[in-house]
Parts: sequence; C-alpha cells; structure tokens
Amino acid sequence: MNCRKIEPLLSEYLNNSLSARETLAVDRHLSECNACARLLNEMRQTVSLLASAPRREVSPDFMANLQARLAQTPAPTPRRVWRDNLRAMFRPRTLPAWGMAAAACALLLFLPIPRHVITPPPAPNDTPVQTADSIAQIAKNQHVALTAYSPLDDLAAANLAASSADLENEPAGERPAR
Amino acid sequence: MIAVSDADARLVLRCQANDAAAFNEIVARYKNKVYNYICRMVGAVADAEDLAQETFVRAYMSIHSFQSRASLNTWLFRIATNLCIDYLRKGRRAKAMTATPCREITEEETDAVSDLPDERFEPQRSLLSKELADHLDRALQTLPEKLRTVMLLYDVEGLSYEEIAQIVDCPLGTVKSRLFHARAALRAKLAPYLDERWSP
Amino acid sequence: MKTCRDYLTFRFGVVLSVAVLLTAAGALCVTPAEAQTREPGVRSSPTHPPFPRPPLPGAGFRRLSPEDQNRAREIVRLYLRQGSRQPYQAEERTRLFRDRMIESTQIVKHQGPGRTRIEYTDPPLLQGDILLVNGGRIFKYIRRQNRILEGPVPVEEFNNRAQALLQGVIKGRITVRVVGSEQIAGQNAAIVEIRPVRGGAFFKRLWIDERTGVRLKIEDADPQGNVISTSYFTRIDYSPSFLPRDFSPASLPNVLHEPLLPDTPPLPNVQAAQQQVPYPIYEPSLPAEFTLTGVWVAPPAGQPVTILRYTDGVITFALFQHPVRLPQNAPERRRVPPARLINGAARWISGDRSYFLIGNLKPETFRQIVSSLP
Repeated sequence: MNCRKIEPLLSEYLNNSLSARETLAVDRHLSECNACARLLNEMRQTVSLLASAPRREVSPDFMANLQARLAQTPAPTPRRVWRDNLRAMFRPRTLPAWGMAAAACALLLFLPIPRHVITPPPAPNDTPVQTADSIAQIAKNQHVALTAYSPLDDLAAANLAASSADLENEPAGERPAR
Repeated sequence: MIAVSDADARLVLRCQANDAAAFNEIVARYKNKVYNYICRMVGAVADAEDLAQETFVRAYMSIHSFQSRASLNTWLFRIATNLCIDYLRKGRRAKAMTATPCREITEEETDAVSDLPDERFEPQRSLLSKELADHLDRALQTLPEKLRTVMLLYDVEGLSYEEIAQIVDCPLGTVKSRLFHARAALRAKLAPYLDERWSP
Repeated sequence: MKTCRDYLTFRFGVVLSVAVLLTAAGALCVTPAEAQTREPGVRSSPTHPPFPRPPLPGAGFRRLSPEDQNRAREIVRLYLRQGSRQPYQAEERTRLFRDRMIESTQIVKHQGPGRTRIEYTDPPLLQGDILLVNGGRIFKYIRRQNRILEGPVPVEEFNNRAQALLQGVIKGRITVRVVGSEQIAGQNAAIVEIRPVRGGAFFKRLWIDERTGVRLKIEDADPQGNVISTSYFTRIDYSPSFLPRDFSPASLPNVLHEPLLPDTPPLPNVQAAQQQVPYPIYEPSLPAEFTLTGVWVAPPAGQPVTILRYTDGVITFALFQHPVRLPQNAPERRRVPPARLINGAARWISGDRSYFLIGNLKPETFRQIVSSLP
C-alpha cells in the first residue's frame, strides 16, 4: 500500500482498532516509510499532549448557582413523557413495526408456549455486590478503594489481600440480616 | 447497546422518582467532566460555566424521558455538545473570547501552603507547561467544530466510537474519519512542540 | 501573603525543633531495647524475610542531626509534591508474608495525580485483572468473574494522610528519617522510615527516587521489624507513551458496573452516619494516637454497613459493622472474638452486631477495640 492509503489508517492503528490484515499492512509500510512513521509518531504525541492537558474545575459556587436556576425552572413532569412516547410509537416510520408485531402475536396464539417462558423472571438483583460476595469480601474491596489515594498505603498489597480467596479467614456463608 | 453504569442507572431511577438528592449526585459526579469538555469546545470562557449549568438544567427537565438506551454519560455529553454547537453558531464567540478564563488550579494556589505534606489531591494538575497548554487551547479552537467534538470526546473524555456516534448522530465510519482528520490537523498545528526523537 | 509565608516558616521551625528534640529523646529512652540491639536479619518467623539492612552504621535508632531531619523532610516533601505528578510505567512485584508468601506481578501505568492503571500479569488467579483509578473513581475489573466493581475513592485521603503525618511529626508522635539508600529498578532511592515514636507500633519504609520523587518500593513492618508486605518496581520507564484510553473506564470490558461505595462524599462524623442507619453505631475505644479519618455508610440500602476509618499517622485501619442475625443453632465459636488479627483482618460477632476489621494493629490495641464494643 502507498502512503495515501496508509495515512487514513494511522489514527485507527493508534487506537488498536484495525483488523489484523490492516495492522500487518501498516506495520509493513511503517518499517519502510520514514515519513509515515514520523506522522504516526507525531500523532501519538498529539494525542498524549491532549490527554495530559490541564482539566478545568467549576467554580466553588457552581452548585449554588445551579440550585438557584433549578428553583426557577418548572418541575419536570413525567406525564408528558408517556404522551410523547405514545405519539412516537405511532409515527409513520414505526407503523411497519406495528404490523409485524400484530402478525407475530397472531402466530403466537397458535403455538404451544413452554412453561419456563411464562414463568416470571427472578426479581432484579438490587445489590449484586452484596449477594455475590461475603461481607468480608465486600469490606476488603471497599478497603482497596479507601487506600487508592493514600500516600502511605500500598494499593497493590491491599488489592492482593482482597483478591486472594485463600486469604479468607472469616466464617463462611454469612450474610447481612435482612 | 452500551452497558450503563449501575450506579448511574440507580441515580437516574431515583431522579425519576423525584429524588432531588439523586440529581445533586449526578451533578456532583459529572460537573467537572462536562465543564472541562465545554471549556475546550467553546474556548476558555466564562460562558462555559453557564453552558455547563444549562446542560444540567436541560438534563433535569428531561430526566423523565431518559430511558437508559444510552449511558447517562453519553446523554449528558450529547446535551452539552448540542448546546456548544448552538452557542458557537449564534456567534457569541467574539464576545466570549474577551471574557474571564475558566477556572484552572494555579501554581499560586498550590504553593500558597507550601509546607511539608500539604499536597492536595489534584487530578487536574497539568503535566504541560503553561505555554504549551495555551497553545494547545488555541490550536483546538481553530479546528472545525465537528472534528473538535469527536476528538475531545474520544481523546480527552475517553468515550467509545459507538457512544460518540450516538452523540453526534452519525455513522461509526464518520466518527473514525473525523477523528483521523482532527488528529492530523492538530498535529500540524502543534508541530513546533513535538519531539522528533520520540520513538514510536 | 507575607503573613502566611511567615506563619509557614514559623510552623516549619516548630516541626523541625520538636522533631529533633523528640527524636533525641526517643534515642535516649523510649526506643525498645530490642529494636536497638537485635540483628535485623534474625527474626522469629522463618517465613518473614529480614528487612534489607540499610547501609548505614548502626541501623537501629541513632541520634539524628538537624541535617538528617532536614533531608528526610525534603525527601518526603519531594515524594508528596512531585512523586505523584511524574508519569511512569513500571513493572511491580507485591509480596504478602503470611502463613505462606503470596505474590503478584503487575504493570503500573501512572499518568499524574489520581490517574493510575494497574494490570495484573501474575499469578494466574489475578492475570487480566485491572485496577483503574481516574477522576476520583476506582474501577476494579475481576477477569475470572467478568465483573467490574466501581466506586468513588475518597480524594481527600491524600491530603488527610499527609496532614496526619505532619501533625504526628509536630506533636512528636512520628519520626521520619532517612535510613539508607538503595538502587531499585535502576534508580537511586533514599530509604525513608516513618515510624510512630511510641515503641511497639507498626511502621513503614518508603524507597523514594531522589530524582523524581516516585515511590519505588514500600514495606510495611510489624513492631519487631518483620516485613508483612512489600511492593517494589522491577523496571520503570519515565517516558511512557500512554493513550488516553489507558485511563478511561471505556477501555474496560463492557460489563455492568457494580457499586463498591456510595457515590457521596465521606460523612463528616459518626452523628451524620447515625442518621442514615437504623441501628446504633458503636465506636471503639482507642489509644490516643488514633484519630477518625472517615465515615461511610455503604450499601445494601436495607441493612447498610457503617465503615469507620482511623489512622495513627502512619498506618490506617477500618472497622466495618452491621447488624446480623445468627441462626439459633450457630456454633458458639462464631461469637468468640479472635485474640488477634490474622493476616491483617478479623471478623467477629458480638451481641446483634457483626464486625470486620482490616488493618495492622498490635494485639493489645486490637483487644482494646474488641472489648470496648458491645
């Protein structure tokens, strides 16, 4: 491939989002073409500079000003939503979908339905972390988060302690009272 | 379908149940992110804070219609992007350029308490020199809006192609091509600051 | 501004003089005899490696000159002020010395304050796990479970701990001193020991790159000087080229994020936490050197866990509590508090309450805590 074809691929190459074939082609070209290697290099630096540029913070009275603005704003009305949705459902471009749905319903009426399909799904799991882990495991992971910015603590050691199942020393199978 | 952060989804549900504290949490979580993006979109101007506030006012107004098809993050950036583009098109830019710069944590602020372990947590601290940071800001402002939007969302805010496509309402291929053109254009403007010795 | 500078100069003077006086006093009377005489290489537990002996004559306590104090202060200052701003990519090894040694190897990418990514490469159990800290949030991707835990990190922690260290030095509870130098990952590091003056406490050693302020190694040691955990770089590159996505949560696998801590700032005090939980929060009795540094109420919403975090200026520990219902036929042993912390953690049930403590504490401090809680 020549430079004109390679250049547009460099940005994707930088993001590791090219296919294996394209990556190989770019690699091959870069090993022979100094101009493209330099372009890639400078593009990489540009991205890196942009990412490390100073980030701005809102002024300390941002929240107070926003609250004042919200106080003057009429409260949002959920009612409008379903009305809008209903209107959207019957827009001309959704009408074919309604037709398909009606046909599917008619078809379903004549098909036997397996029992597990009509069984209601389990209630959504409100607290996945709590039910998946023991209290001690949760505590260890929370401890990792609390350690993350501590200049005198060892984040990697805290995480290793939290991650190693064989370090468990708490009574098994206990869950918080509900 | 983008996976929605569970914490965000809960906050949205609480907002939809008219829990004002939940909306405050959303603002607390996203205010600097949104503000930083707007500053770079419209230039370092005082109006950026107004636009950031407007973003949250609009989010508040339409939180009931938010249906988690996109992430909260994507939705807020979409609102902010539309506001910035409106703002830039209405030609308020000339007025804005003379306005107060955005608040940035300054050297003086950090050095004011310069005794031993007085380091504050400062994720916003820059690794760039002031001169280069200013140059970068100016260079960004010269990019066409469409390119700037995609570049800021991808390279600064870390959004995915899919999320950006939702925000700017265009196909993935267009997002990729805009990103390439933006990077190439910015690279040309920053050329004097780039180091040829950097190894790829 | 001038007044402020004058005040700071004065404060610095006070720190220096108090620290010098106390260290001198420590050298004369408060140092445990054992620490003065015992060879660092000879330890009771064969599984604990000895502290590397610092290349200074008399590695135990010695009288510190003002210059020594000054140098230690400067290095700690370099670490706190510059170290976190220096970008780097490093290979790090972590070792926990327990009944047996547990080890991990990870790649650490650090772009600036609050932007760190740790990618585990070993052991196989952790391979592929990622710990990402960015923008005041932490994301822990656990590969083998294909899940991400996400939560805020207390951003004020850096400042709080630095201030606690300063206060500890001012009030004469903590000494900071340079005990040697060593090459770590090819960089010259000064070894700084941070130790409560009062004998018999856990302490730390940090290896600080004298050029960049980056912490190249850290060791936590028990009061006898046995290393209980360490992390150290085996390679470091100070000119890494990162992509912004390295520090973006979007770079993690596309799975649901589960909440780790509530998205609210830490509560100011126990009273504030009390308003959020339907049970009385019990506070432990502690030696005077410990102060409360943070209070959290964590999910689940129905039965939240209260977290109290304390520091003595050097180490921290966290106490978790929540009401618990034990089955009537539960074995009695589950109600007997452990006599000491095992591997830096203990869990016990007392009355209607389940407690979990993480941290390194002397057995007597731990017993004091256990006996003070209902």
